[in-house]
Amino acid sequence: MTPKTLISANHINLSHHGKKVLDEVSFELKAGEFITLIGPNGAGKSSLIKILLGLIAPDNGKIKKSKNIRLGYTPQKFIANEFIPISVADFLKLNQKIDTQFLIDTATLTGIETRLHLPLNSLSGGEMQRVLLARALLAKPNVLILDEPAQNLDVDGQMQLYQLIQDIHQQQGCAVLMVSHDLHRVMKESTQVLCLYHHICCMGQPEAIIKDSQFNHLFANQMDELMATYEHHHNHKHKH
Amino acid sequence: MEDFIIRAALAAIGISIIAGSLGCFVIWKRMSYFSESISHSALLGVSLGLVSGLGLHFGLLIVGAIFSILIVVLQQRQFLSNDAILGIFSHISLSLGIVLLALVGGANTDYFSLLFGDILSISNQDIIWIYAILVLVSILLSIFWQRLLLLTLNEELGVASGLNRLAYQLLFMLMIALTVSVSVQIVGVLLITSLLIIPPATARVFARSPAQMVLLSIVVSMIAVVMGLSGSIYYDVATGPAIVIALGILFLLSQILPKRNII
Repeated sequence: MTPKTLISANHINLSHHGKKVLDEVSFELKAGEFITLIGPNGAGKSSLIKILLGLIAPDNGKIKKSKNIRLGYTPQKFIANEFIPISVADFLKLNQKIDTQFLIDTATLTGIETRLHLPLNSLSGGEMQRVLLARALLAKPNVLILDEPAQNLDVDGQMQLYQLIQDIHQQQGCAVLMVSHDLHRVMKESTQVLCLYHHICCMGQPEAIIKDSQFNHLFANQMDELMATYEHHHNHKHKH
Repeated sequence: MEDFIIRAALAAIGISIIAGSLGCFVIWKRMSYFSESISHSALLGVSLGLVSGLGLHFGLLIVGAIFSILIVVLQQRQFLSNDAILGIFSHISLSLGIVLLALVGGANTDYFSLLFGDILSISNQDIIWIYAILVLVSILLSIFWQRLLLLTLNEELGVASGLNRLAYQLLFMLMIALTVSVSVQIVGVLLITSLLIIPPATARVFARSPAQMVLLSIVVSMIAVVMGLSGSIYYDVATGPAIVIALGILFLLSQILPKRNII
């Protein structure tokens, strides 16, 4: 039996002020898959995610979602309304029914168990990313959409987050669609890499990093455990 | 105690519960200018009520609802910034209201009490209206509290979890229109917004959760309306300004007092 398609995008087009942002974008996310969406800044990655989520409407094209889809989503830029006094725990529970044990387990998994009683607005960027991930997980998702979850994190923080995402994908088996602006390094966990620059330039599977060749890095060994390279195979050129 | 004082107190307390709770959302959503626009449309509602014979409250409600919907529709088109749209609505509706009222109400129209509130105008029927709307708003708020709060905290997260942003925006605006329709008599067209924003602004300093902020805001509002009403009767001044001055005193105190969580 082939894995079930959870979300499919068919010929999505979007223009903004006469400029083409998305051009005939089509792809599918199947159960258990891990798609990494890469592309330079301004390539239309976040617009595509917003269309998938129904936050903005495409000019034309269709999004199909399977009926029993449960979405977990972490936005790229999250600004909590600064005027609302709310604790991390209350934010996690907001508009979803969660039993306390599940909340504590998820907070422990994401490493925010000591932050639960703090005001939401007192968190650092990295802590907020973890809180958002925790909130997404509390929805018991079968699809996790992560828009540049590692932004604003130092290398150590990025690694922890990637490790966490890998664990979640392996253990909970939910499909993942992760956006990254790193063009050459993607998570090894990725089953498919989509390279977007307004249209889908290429797609394919990542290749394992050749040890210490390109990325002579302080954390190279640990990073290698999690990351892989992606070789672009474009058959066309852009006027960038 | 005189009957009219009891009626005024009952009305004022009812309104302070409605405005105190919805006002938190007005502050959180930064929509004080929106509530200002809707309350300025109230004079138009008063004249509609007079002309059509539907009465004050229906007139206010219909005009408030129409204006809420118009503003939401215009905001969707995004050809002007929100504050420009609201500014246009606010002053045109106020001017239209005054002119229409002069045409249909004749020389006897008491502008002063419409603009600044008049406790003598509260009838038993008004009390029934206020408490019916209090019950309605409380039911709506308790059903949709979590969803409204999530959308207010972060719209993207709310929509991504399947909430219809337009529907809840409309629901909220209609609740504001309801509030305006019962607040005109007590505080007057020009001062309704202060009843919506000063109590939550005062409560914000001490509140640690959204629910606490709502409760505190209601308490602040109740204290202020009772203070304002007493002052208004004792010194024989307009009710609206007396209540707003009481609110101002409480707000000032909240800013001066050491910031401690009192709950």
